[in-house]
Amino acid sequence: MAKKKSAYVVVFKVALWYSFILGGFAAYTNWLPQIRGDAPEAAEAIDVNNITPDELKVMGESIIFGSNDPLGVLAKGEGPIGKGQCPLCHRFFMEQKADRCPNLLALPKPDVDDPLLKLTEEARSHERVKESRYEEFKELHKDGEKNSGIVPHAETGGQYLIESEYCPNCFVVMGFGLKGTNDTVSPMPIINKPPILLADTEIVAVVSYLQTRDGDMNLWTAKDSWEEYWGRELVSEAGEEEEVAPVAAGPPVALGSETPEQIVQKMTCFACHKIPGISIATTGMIGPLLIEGTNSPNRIKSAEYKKAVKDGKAHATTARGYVIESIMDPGAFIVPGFADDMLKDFKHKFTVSGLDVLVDHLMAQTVETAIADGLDRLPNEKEGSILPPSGEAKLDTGKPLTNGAG
Amino acid sequence: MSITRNGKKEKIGAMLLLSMMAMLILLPFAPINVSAQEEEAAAEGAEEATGPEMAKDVFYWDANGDPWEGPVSGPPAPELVYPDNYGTYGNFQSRTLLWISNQQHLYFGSFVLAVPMFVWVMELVGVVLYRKDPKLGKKFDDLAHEMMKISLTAYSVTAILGGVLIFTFLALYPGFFGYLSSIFKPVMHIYALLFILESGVLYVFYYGWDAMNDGCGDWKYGHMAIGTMLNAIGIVLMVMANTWVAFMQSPSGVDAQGRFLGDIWKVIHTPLMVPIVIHRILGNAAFGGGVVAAYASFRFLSAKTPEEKAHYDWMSYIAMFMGVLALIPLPFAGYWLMREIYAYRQQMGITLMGGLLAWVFIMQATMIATLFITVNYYLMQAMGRMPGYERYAPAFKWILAILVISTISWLTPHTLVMTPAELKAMGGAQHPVVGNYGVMSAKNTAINTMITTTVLTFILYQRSNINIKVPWAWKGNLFLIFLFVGAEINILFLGIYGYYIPANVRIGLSVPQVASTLTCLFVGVPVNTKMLKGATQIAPIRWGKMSVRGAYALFLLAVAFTWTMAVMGYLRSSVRLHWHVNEILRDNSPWAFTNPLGYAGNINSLNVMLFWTMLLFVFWLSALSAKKAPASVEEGAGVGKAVPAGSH
Repeated sequence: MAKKKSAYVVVFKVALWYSFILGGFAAYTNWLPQIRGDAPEAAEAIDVNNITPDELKVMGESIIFGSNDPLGVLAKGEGPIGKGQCPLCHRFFMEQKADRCPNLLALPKPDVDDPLLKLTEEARSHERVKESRYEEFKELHKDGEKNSGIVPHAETGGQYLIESEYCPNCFVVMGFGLKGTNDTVSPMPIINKPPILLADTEIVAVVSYLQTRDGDMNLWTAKDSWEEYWGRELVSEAGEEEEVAPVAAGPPVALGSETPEQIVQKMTCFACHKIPGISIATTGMIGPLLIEGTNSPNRIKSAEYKKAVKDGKAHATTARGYVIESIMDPGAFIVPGFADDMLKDFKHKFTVSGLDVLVDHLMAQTVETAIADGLDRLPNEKEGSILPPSGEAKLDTGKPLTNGAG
Repeated sequence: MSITRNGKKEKIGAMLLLSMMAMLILLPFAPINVSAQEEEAAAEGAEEATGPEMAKDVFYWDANGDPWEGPVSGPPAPELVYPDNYGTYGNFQSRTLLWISNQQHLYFGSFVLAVPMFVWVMELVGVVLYRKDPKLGKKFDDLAHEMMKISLTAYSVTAILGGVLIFTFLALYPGFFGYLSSIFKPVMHIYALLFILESGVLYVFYYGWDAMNDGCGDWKYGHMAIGTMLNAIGIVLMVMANTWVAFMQSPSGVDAQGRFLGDIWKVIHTPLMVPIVIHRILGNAAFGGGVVAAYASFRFLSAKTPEEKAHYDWMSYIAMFMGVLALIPLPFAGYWLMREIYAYRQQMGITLMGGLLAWVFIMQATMIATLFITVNYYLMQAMGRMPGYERYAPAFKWILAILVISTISWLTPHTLVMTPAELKAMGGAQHPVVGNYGVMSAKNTAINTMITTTVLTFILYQRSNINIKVPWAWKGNLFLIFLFVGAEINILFLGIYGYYIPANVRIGLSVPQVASTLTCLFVGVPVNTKMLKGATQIAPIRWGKMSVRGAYALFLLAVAFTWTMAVMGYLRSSVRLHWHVNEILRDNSPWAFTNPLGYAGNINSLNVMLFWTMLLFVFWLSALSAKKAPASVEEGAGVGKAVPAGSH
């Protein structure tokens, strides 16, 4: 009996000791940072024609970092890792440690030797396709890269960014290939396949973020680049109609399904501008006459615009880009004779396709269409009147003119 | 049953028995061919009509570097839907319920597979020693027999828990279980049949122990052959169970839709299968040693007679020694596994080491550090039974200091959790001084230093009650000093040098660091053992005189082994993130998220507590049947003789 009692005492003491150890281990794990890894949500039903570039950028940020405050997440000592898992390997911020894949820092680093690192990622992407190595990769994968079946064929920076998501092996940055492959095989997974499995529109969102993360929406070409690269329209990934989330109440948004007339009305462009082909936009006296088929090619070549480019304010290189810039970033260039008074929130109000609709319309307007509609420039437009002297346009210049973007 | 040594009949009987066993082992494989033929015939029939659909393997490549193509031989992975394909019990997380039943089965499974390995080694040692010293040989044989007795009871519990696990799968994850069963269908029955065979061999092995024990004669070798068979079956069983886990983590032999491509070997031989299996075998061995050491410690503490106390003191030492033997290569096996994970999917490796699960490695480092410090502490306490140890006692505090410093360095995280204000004040997430210890250069240096120090402690333990008599003693001592000091200088130098070179070069430095550590182990210990030859004892080892603290240290060691297994299991499972089968079968249940470390810690502690509680029951059962008195100290061969401590 005494023996049994002794064994029970030992059991009790050992049980106490075990409880102490196990409690200690459990307490320690609870003291360490607690990070819950949520499963990524299924690809969001996105109607790419009903989303603004700015929203795409925000969405891209969320896909990359799992948060729209990645620096805040970093400050907590955690890794801002989203569904795309990009920051596991790419470095986006100086505060972040990741050097397995090329860095994607937004800010150029002028103090480094590597000329490419002096550029932003967006600018760097344009250089990549010009590298002689890119030609070598084209040759290497002329029959199609084995994992993706893609033949490298990017021609612009935007297309390069798109291609690198679908086919990481189509170009591998020097020094970042798998060991023993002479930098011909990338460690990066194909992003539209498991485990990352991003949808096409999500990839466009990620590229949107990469192109515009420093705030310059004029650099945004993601959707066009995607369509140019694949030679087809980016299919809207909205599910069945009933599954599409209703548009939340808020500021009006220009949609691709609308006519130019509806967009101009919704965005109240007519309040300031005269626009040929738009029945309600015949009286605006605050901004320039919007005949961008004629205006934009000349304005982009003007000395004033070149100065704006030199000052780092304007960035457009094509006539169409100029028009987009004047809507998305009206302050980038002010038409001589006008003031910087145009609203600055249009980048939040246009969907990608809505913008296309309006820009297409504006680019189609010329001196001839204006004359046909009986519309003339304002007196303070240095190009001067387009109507014959006997024209009936009644120009009222009695009040100060503002809103010079366009 | 009477045994006549070299008796002709018995020999024939033993041979027949062994032959039957060997045939039984092969039996489960026979239906594979039948099944394969049936499938072939069915496939041929189908081919005649339409021809087989070929699909690309998600992992394997052919000689031309193109994805290997195989005939589609199974349905695609289902798209699971909650709640149709998932079950629940009340408000419990189904995943947690499965986690607990899985962990319990794994613990007992590991234990019953690890113990026969020990038993086999102990029995072999007993047979070898028997020729020179029958008493010492018998002592090892009794130890092996006693270990086997514990394992036998645990075996039944393992089988019951296996049943519980299958029912849990069927009740809570029927969709997933159905898919996995369809993939492994060609070998599923082998597992079941081998389990039955394992049971048969186990019972023959255990119950035939005394009947076949003729010291070191033919019957004993026959018994050892059965033991070999038992371990072979056990290892095959373990490998088969591990292949399911490996398939879930790194599937192969299926196409992107998860369709089986007809080659079961490709399903079994996944990219991570081999390192996972090796890592688990070593882990099981270390764990088994820890459990037996804890059992012996418990019996040591509750022993009533000096003889009993001496026996269990000795047994705990042997079990601890065997466990540590498996523990030492474990970090290197882990390193290999991690390297293979990076090679398989880099983002999986980064999720482990630098992403979502990185903090788990801080916990793992804590556990490994606990293990090494505990082993050192135990050896120091165990030296209390070795008169003469006082000569080395002054070194203990320095050894502990080195271990503590290494531990602190190893536990230092790369970045710290801070408020924005603290972050700003510090200038970044990485501390300017402490942050330097959060990188691999420092951590590799720390763990190698810890292992080297542990080897040194063991060498001190070996010689603590010994007066060395070999004429080349001073040369040997000088050599050992140079070996250890040189190794540590090399480890430190490479660690510091790592800060000045790029990451891709730095990673290569771990090889010479490890080489230094292993040289200390595989050269230092044999040289020391050689030096002990012909030595005299200052006094015999006083088995049973170890301090109570030493016994409690062994409990800590055992719990740390158990807990480490749990936390690393959580890690391995979590790295699949929201996939049941990585990139093939998505987890669409509400529990597809990865639980935070704290929750895992709580469940791990619960699991460990449950396991040890059940094990207590097993110990109690085995103690109930303990009729035979253990070998006494006086009887115990080797006591009082100049036997090197390492061979105790």
